[in-house]
Amino acid sequence: MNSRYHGRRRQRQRGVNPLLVGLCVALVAVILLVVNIIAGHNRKPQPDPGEPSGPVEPVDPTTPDDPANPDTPDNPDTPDNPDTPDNPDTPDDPVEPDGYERIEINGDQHQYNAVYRIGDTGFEMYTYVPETAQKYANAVNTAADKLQGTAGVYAITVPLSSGITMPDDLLGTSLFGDQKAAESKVVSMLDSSVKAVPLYDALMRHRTEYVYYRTDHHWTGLGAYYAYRAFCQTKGITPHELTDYKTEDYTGFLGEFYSSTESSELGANPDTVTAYFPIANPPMTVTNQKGITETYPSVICNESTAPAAYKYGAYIYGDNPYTVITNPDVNDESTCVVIKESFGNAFVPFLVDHYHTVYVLDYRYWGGDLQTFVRENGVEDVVFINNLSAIRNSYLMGKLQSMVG
Amino acid sequence: MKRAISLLLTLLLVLALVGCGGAKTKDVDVAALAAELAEKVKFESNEMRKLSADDLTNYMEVPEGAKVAFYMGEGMTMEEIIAVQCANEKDAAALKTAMETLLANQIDSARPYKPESVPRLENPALIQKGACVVLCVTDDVDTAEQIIKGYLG
Repeated sequence: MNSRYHGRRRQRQRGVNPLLVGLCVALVAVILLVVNIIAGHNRKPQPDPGEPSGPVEPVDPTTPDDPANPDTPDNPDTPDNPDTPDNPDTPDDPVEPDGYERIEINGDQHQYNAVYRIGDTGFEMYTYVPETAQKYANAVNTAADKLQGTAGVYAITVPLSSGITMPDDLLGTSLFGDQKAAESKVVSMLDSSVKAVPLYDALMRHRTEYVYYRTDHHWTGLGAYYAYRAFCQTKGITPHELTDYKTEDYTGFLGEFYSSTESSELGANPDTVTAYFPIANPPMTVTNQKGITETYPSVICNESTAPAAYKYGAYIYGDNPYTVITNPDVNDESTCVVIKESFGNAFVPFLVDHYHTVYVLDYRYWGGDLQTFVRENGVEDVVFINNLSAIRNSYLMGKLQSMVG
Repeated sequence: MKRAISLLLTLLLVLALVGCGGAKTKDVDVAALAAELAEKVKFESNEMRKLSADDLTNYMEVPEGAKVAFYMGEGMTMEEIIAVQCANEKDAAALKTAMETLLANQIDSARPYKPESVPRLENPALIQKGACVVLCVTDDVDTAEQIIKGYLG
């Protein structure tokens, strides 16, 4: 009996218990299963390919701070001043107007999405976007580089009314950005071969004049005239005096601020579009967005009977992909091309008396290559004139880069 | 009996290991997809211009290793087709976010000048499946989505 007992004990001691192995394997399997289940809960659900993502909520590019509490930290994606990092301990200081005429707040205030109203005047809210400003500078620099030896390149960056005619207590605050600093930043990114034409000072010296519309985001013909003087100074030519121009007024203009807010305060005090006719006043040929080419007797369109919203179209008949103005009174074959959005419309008439041919390309609609165009048309000056709101828009700057190549 | 239990437990282990792996999605022929969208979807533009992957980098960062098909409509219609097969799902998700940002910027620029383009920007066909993401901005969203679903599965 004892020998059988010892024999069985010796058999148990030989090799690994298979049940024990199986239990270990089972334990590992359970652990793996549990880990897989937990990972599955944490994984973001994949969109059902049968269901689209649905309407896209537009991201408001301004994302302003709370205007009722200016000491709240800036949204780090929308800094006020591109030179100073966001600091929650320091309030948003208004920019001092540096010896320019002061403007006081006159009227009640109301914010409508991207438009801010003070009394009977609307202002576009603005934030500087460094990445998009760099895109703009890259596009202009690329043009200058590719056209070296062929054409000179000018860059005019236009501040908005919220950076110039804004009352001083709000000038440069987070809702409207420090547009003086923004312009400086953009200009600093331009190559030395680009002839920059800064406008901040030129416009601030005339900020109490009618240089921007109240009911629209554009500048007036007068604002564009001061930009023209700044351009002449950079180019080294003599500008015409304001009194040299014949003018026509188109009253009752209610622009984009009015149409987007339907504010009765804006509606009660419409703007006047004052058009400045070139001294030579030649005809103008336009290819419109439908591809139809027409010739008009003047660069100024008579908008006296146009609907209230359309009066800014007085300047070169509005936004067209391609425009040509030939001035027979300038017979030296000088040629320029203006690359613009709509702010450029009010500026172009002032160039007409200085070039034999002025081409105007709206890069939002024109699909050609700039370098090819310049070479084929013997252009000697390329003038980029772009407002700060466009310069912060990545879609528009993508369009500009596509044109430049 | 003990062997049977061990075998069963081993099988369980193998199944658990298989369950941990993710399903691999197939690559999509984005060039064919985009071409079919350009041909069959109704656009306001007379022509959808075929552009290059380099052109797309003017509007957004394109991940490395991505295959791109890109078309744009005329002027400020804001119509476009962007189909991208990325190297992985994470890149596709990032690209989808970049497309949403582009749409927001387009809405911003269309509102003052071409407000009739805004509705199509607010309701585009924007679909991601796995490592593939497709955007088609058009009023003919139903046709676009049908074509996209046919390729993405």
